Amino acid sequence: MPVLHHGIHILEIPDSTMREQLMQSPVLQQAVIMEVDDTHWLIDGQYISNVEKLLAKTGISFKVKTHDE
Amino acid sequence: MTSELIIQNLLSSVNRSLRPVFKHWLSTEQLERRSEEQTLLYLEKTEKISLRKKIIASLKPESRALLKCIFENSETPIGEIIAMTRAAGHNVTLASLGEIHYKGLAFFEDPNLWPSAKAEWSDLNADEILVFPPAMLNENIIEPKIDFQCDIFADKVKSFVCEDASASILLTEFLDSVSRAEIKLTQHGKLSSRSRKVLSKIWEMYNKSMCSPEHMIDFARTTGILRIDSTGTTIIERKFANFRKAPRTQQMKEFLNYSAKMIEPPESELTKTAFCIHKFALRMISTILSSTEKDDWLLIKPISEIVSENVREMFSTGKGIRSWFWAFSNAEFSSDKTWKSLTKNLLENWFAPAGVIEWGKNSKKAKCVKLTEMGRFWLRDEFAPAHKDTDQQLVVQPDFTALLTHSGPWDTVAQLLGLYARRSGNDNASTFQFTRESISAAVQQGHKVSDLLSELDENCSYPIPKNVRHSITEWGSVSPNVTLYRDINLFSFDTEKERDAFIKLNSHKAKKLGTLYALLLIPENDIFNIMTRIYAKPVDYTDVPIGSVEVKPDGRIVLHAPDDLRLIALRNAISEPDEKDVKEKLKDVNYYLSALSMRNTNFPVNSYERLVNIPGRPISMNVRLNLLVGFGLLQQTPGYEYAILSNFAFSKRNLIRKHFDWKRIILARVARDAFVLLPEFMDVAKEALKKTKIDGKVYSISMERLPLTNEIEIEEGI
Repeated sequence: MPVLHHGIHILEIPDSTMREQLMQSPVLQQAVIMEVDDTHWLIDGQYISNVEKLLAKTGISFKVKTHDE
Repeated sequence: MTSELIIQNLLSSVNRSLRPVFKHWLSTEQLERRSEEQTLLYLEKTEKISLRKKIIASLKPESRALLKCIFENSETPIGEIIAMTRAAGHNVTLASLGEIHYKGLAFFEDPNLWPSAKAEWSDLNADEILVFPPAMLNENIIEPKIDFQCDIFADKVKSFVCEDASASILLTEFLDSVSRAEIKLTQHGKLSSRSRKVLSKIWEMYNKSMCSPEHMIDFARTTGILRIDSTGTTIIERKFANFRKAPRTQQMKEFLNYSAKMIEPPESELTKTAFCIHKFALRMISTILSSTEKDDWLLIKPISEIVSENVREMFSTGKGIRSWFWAFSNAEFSSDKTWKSLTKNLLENWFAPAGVIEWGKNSKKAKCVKLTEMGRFWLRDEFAPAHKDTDQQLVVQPDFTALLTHSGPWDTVAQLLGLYARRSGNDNASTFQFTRESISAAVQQGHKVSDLLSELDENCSYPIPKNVRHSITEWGSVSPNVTLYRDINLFSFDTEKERDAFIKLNSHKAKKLGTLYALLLIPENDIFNIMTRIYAKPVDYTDVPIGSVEVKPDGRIVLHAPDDLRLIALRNAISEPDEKDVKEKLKDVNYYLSALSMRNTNFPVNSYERLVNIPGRPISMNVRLNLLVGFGLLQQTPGYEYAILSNFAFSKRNLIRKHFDWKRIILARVARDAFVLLPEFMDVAKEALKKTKIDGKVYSISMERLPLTNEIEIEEGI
């Protein structure tokens, strides 16, 4: 039976070097629930703003997309 | 919206002749027909634009204004609508409402409340809404000219500075905090303690402010510049950048309109009245102020008298159309004293902090008020105030700071710099600090670095240092491939084939993830329609999981919410599927605790913490010890003998350290208030608790090993 996972947060990082570099950070280690595939991580909702701050601090500009964009 | 059937039923239940009403709509011949037929014909005629317009045009101007307000606020009680129209400066009374009934344009749904020769107006009337034929909603009534005048001007007034208007600065600082992601709400919609601290620091700078931080958040949400997601995090919408870029006067106008509409009395002053007295007073004062010309000063005392007088008049039973008015009125009004204090309160705590009035005193020392430039822009649509200072200097320094002098609340240069840098200082001289973080955040929110650089080129007293130009350009470059999908919907399927078929059907907005997932970026309502159509089971991630992970004595893992990815991830971190257990669907395969999985988990501490913190039935102490050993977070002891220090507050560890080498003795934290130690340190721990008089219990425990798959390989490996 299909499942609808509602209100989920996913971080997409296609670049492998950037991915490896980010995964060293305890902030991301704490926030990642699971790897959906090679480039997508499922992020725990309670740590989402920490992830945003981490990306901003490391100078990674990123797009934010929500359900109807 | 009222249906024709409701009007039909209402008119058939009216126990009086409707001839006076229908005569406006029907011909003499039609008025001779049966009453049911007349009602149907009336409804038909309401759809005729020309006739509708003719009848509406025949209304008195104040009745027309009232009707317009009724159509625009069809769900608002009539008491509030009358107050709203009167406060806008129209001379509305109960007779106006009677005229609207008489001309068949709108009615009380209860015929007993209709105007008649013996009708009595009461709060019951004021609380009701009006119904009208649905065709009326298409009518676009031009608001009659407001002819409000007052003669309460003061001469020879000297203005005095009371205090700075705070609203525009509060709004700017609030938006800056939002852009720095400093504002967060709890899941119950309250400000988080950290956000409250940030905002109260801003608000504390002013003695008086016209609104609370929560009110500003509501404004930002209502205007669609930000959204609060399920975790309480503020999400900046696309409109945010445009709103921040708009002239500050325009921002303030929008904010003042919202605040005036939403003003509520403090809880202590809540009283049951036929209309909101705070809203009425605020609107009435705005009307009085907007009737003034430039440089007109108004005496304060008569303002409250005008407000009070208008309240009395709007529910008065003045002369109306015969048999279509209220002969008596039981409406209760607040005393003159109430209006006086309310007017004073609003002028001091709303209009002044909003920056729309300035204070003065006449020769007799009577307090007076006058509209400021901002006030005239807000209420009279006159020219917006602009910043003019020929002495202004802007210097960008090689240390990534910009110095700006002679600024002000309406200064566009300061406003633009504030979008990209953090400001310190005041309007005389302020510093803007550019950082990688501030530039990239601005770009992410929709601002362009090119706008900043061209503004700097245009206004700088000296050329921008090369290193600053270069770095700002570099910091503002976007890595477009990194995307954070927030609060979205993900579908998972049992097989790749099913997933691909789903993607094919929703190709316009669906994105493949892994082998079994599909991400769908469409509005929530459409998502739920699709969910129903494909019989998908919903799992809500805006809340904690609704089930837990259970480890059975034979090592089998049972998920009580088997579709929740948070639980599936935890299960995968500690177990492996039974290879012999061949099932058609992967979901149905049994999983068993695995030494290999636990040792290979990348972040064992996080996995353990998540496992033991899942709400629901707590994991037993024995399973916890097995997991800690499995994850390599707890050393193995001969016979698996351990001691537990329980009921111990972690914050007290500093007190116990004098008697107890915490780092050496404590092996692991097994729960929020429980720690594992070697059995030989039991006495030391007991002694330390006794000496420090700290609560805690020490006991020994023998761990019963749970069966593990892939155990031998691991041990050989070690």
